[in-house]
Amino acid sequence: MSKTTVVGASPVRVDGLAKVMGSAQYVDDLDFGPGLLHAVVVESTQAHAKLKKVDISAAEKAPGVVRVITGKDFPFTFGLYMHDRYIFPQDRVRFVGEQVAAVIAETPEAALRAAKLVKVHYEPLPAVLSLSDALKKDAVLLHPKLDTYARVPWFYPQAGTNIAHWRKTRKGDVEKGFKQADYILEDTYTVPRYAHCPIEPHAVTGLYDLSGRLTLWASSQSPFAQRNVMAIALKPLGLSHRDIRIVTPYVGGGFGGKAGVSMEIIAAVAAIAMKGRPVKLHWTREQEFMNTSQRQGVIARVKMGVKKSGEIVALEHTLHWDAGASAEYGANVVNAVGLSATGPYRVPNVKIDSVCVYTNMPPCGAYRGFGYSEFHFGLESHMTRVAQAIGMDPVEFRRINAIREGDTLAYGAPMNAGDLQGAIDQVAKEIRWGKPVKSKKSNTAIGKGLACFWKAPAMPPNASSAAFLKFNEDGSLNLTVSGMEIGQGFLTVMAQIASEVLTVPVEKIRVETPDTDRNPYEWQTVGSHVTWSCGNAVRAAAEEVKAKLLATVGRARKLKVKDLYLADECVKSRTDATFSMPFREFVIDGIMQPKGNFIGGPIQGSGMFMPEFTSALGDPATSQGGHPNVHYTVGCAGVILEVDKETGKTTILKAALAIDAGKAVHPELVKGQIVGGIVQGLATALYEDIRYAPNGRLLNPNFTDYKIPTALDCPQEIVPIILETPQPDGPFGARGVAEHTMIACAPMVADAIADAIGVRLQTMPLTAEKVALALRGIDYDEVKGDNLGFCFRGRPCDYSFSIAGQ
Amino acid sequence: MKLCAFIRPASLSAAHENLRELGREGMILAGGTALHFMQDHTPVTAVDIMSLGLSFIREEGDYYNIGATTSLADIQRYRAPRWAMHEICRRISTHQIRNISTIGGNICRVFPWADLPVILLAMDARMVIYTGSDEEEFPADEYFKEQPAKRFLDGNILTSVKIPQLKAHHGFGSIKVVRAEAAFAQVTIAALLELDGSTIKTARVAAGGAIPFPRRLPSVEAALGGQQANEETFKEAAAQADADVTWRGREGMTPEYSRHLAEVTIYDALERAAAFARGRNE
Repeated sequence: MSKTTVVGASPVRVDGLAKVMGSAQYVDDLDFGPGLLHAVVVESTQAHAKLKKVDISAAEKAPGVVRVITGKDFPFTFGLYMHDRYIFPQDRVRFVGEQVAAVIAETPEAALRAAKLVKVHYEPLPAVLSLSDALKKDAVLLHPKLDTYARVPWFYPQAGTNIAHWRKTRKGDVEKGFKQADYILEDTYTVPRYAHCPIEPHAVTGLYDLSGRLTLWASSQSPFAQRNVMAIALKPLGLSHRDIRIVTPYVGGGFGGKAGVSMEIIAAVAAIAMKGRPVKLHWTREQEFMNTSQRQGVIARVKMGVKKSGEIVALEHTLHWDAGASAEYGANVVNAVGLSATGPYRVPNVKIDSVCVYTNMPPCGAYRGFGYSEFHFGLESHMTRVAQAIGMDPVEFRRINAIREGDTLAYGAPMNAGDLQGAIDQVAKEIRWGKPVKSKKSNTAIGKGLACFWKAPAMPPNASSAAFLKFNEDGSLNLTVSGMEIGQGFLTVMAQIASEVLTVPVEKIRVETPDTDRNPYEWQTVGSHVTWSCGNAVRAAAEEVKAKLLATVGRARKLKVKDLYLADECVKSRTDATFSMPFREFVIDGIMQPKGNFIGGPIQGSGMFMPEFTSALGDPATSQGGHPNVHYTVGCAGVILEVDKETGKTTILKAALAIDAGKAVHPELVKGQIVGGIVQGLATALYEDIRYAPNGRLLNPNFTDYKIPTALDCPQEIVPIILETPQPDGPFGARGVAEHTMIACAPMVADAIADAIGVRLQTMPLTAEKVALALRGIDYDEVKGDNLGFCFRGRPCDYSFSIAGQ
Repeated sequence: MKLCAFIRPASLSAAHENLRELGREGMILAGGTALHFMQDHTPVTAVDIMSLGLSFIREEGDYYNIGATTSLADIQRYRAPRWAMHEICRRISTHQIRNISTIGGNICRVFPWADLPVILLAMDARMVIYTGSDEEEFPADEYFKEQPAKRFLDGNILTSVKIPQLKAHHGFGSIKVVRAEAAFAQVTIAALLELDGSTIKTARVAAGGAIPFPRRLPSVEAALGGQQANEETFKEAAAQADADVTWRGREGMTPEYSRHLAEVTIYDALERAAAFARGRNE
């Protein structure tokens, strides 16, 4: 890789000042004047019921109400990968909180009052609230018409069951592998649902103007995907892509929850119902918890066979996912895990079944890590246990099996470059692995844990990016892309890449947030892929601009283009040190010729990027034959923690994480991702604890009862470590580093707790209660009660599912 | 509560008169953070007492007198010899909340998770209530015998809280156990030990969190009285954790863990109280 000057530096964020000054605008800040209407939804009180009647007569007559809309007005389905979600339910409701109707009124208060006047008549149906119920032979079906739903070709729903998708990956001969093994360990791990908890709840204002144009101002990670989903869903109304415009100002956190489409489509149809007047729909915190999407819960069965030498010879990994009432996005999480659940290890014989199951719970979807955090909890816990069982150091065991460039992945494609060995070494060194620490306090014990991780962007094979660059008269640049600034520093990184090519300082490049009318295409800002994908598009646009700069000057000054280069915002010549033509002198007006005419013109460029080597068309029975993932980012994390043997409370003393970024375009932002990812990962491991009542109602949809950490809960020390093994197809060698940083947290904490006090927890979260009760010989499963996260019901060892054909 | 009107009276007597006239439709505003948890739609008029000069901390004889509208943040920042109130105040919610939440607001309507009543019960504090004509003092045991909100229905106003000044022979310790720092208490325990040399002359131990209402633990106290202030005594006393109360599941915990946590926390609070008596003062 060539030496860079701007890429690899850490300039001030281009959005930093606006955010510090409070001038950055979010959807709720936008002013639509006195004509703005407000929508409030009516939500189902039933987990599963026939919808007998929705009586809106009283609500329609309420003061201030202008319209009440229901499924009769908009009987359409939608979905990102599968059309199994209803804008409003038609014949049945499928979870507590499902939006049955929307009241549109002059004020939020009037809409709220009238929403309470909507009378919904239900005929209860048996609710499917657990995976075991959902997978029974005679289970009640949530989607009897499952086989009729439109879907992408790589989803395999099982008609006549509650299985929305089943990803099977087979490599080698797993039974033969187990026969070769000297030791086999099989066990179950459970991970409950989690909520995204962005500080800014979902908010959308829609306007269907008199010309038939639908514009949505949305807090979104996916403006173009939303446009596409809505254009398809609303086609019966005569709308097409060109009629729909999505504008996304700054977004106050997404973590996957603002990817795809959820409540936005209600705002869209509310706007359509009120042609000519803007309509706003803003989720409350409670709705943010239960009515967008959640992270799926999973019950994972891991069976691993190893040789005495430490070589893994076989892995069977079976995961049953609680997708909730809709799997239009969540099934792709299941799919991604089904391809990658070996973890970052070389395994010759693999059998993975990743099964997406409908339940009468709120729908789940994308969440930072896209299933990888969930499966790594079981897999990495298992790695340590297997190593200890064969008398091998768990770090050495990981070193032996760590995947390397060129190794064959579970689905048959070769592994990309990445320094997992280096990451293990650096983290082990940082936490002084192998050197036990004795607590100075009699009631506490100190333990260490280490876990590896990997993750690939889970995207369709044709998920592409584009960028536009144009010069202004003063030599500054406007860069338009449609990746989303969700706090990660995306705009700054794109400016750096353009700056690196064109030598224009970052502070002279304005990067605009998306507007699907004005900005070029981007699939979605998900999967930690925009630095890589959109960065390639920006680099291509910048290279096109560079070529035009050189060609224009060469032609106007009759110089050879090969002798020209860019430096300090000028075109310069290698053959004439005195020659220098500042961009500002010609990028709009051109270059004057002796006769008074001008050569050149407004200089602009566009770039696009498509990962042309990918394909999702593998064999459905084995996943062999395709190339579904673009690349994996690998890394390792370690922790030193202290456990109070009386209360069970865990205190994180130190965490270290090493990740191979390929090339850290902005090292300080990468470090920020590491710190943020570790804190979020520790939150899921130690603090967050979603709870449902036995009737499927969410019990803690607020920050009073669902706790995320504050600064006081953060580790005493976090050490971010950046490795750089270039990604050949990445911009300046970069690959994604965002979601990855939380993936290893839960297993490393579980390992460290086990190291400290000998208690092995196999159900998340890893609460003080579970630790303390285990130390006192009390079986948590005996006392935990009913009002708990769905995956926690029953005993993990009781979870066994028999699925026909498996 | 649904706030329909707002009054800022100029004097304590005017506030009393306003509240008396409003009856159940009046509500004292002294910070307002509890409104979040009062989500019925009863229309009320807020009577703001924040400008009545009730924000102070004064040493008065054997007491620290804390004005009812003194913010928790001010109590947290205050320092004086053998002052112990800051210890719990810095553990209540977040800085932002502590800047507006007041001691009076915190104890006029007691929520199950409230920490200050536990402290005040152990401290044997006295609550001063303005009745329109004069002031009456209530010891903590009487004040927290039942929901204090009932005492303020006829316009009465809590004006201050008197905390006994701890002496050299006193030991005080409080422990709040939480899942995350800004969370409500899973268990809160406060202990005040009066020592005669190494012997515990009297003990006051109070609990809150995973029980319906903050209260003292007489069996724990009885196990301490007359005993040596040592580990063995504290363990025996802590073992009485469920002699007077039934610990419930709370904050996602099972009752089994709550009970265990209470025992551990009682022991820790007693240890802290003993350390305080030895001169430790955080």
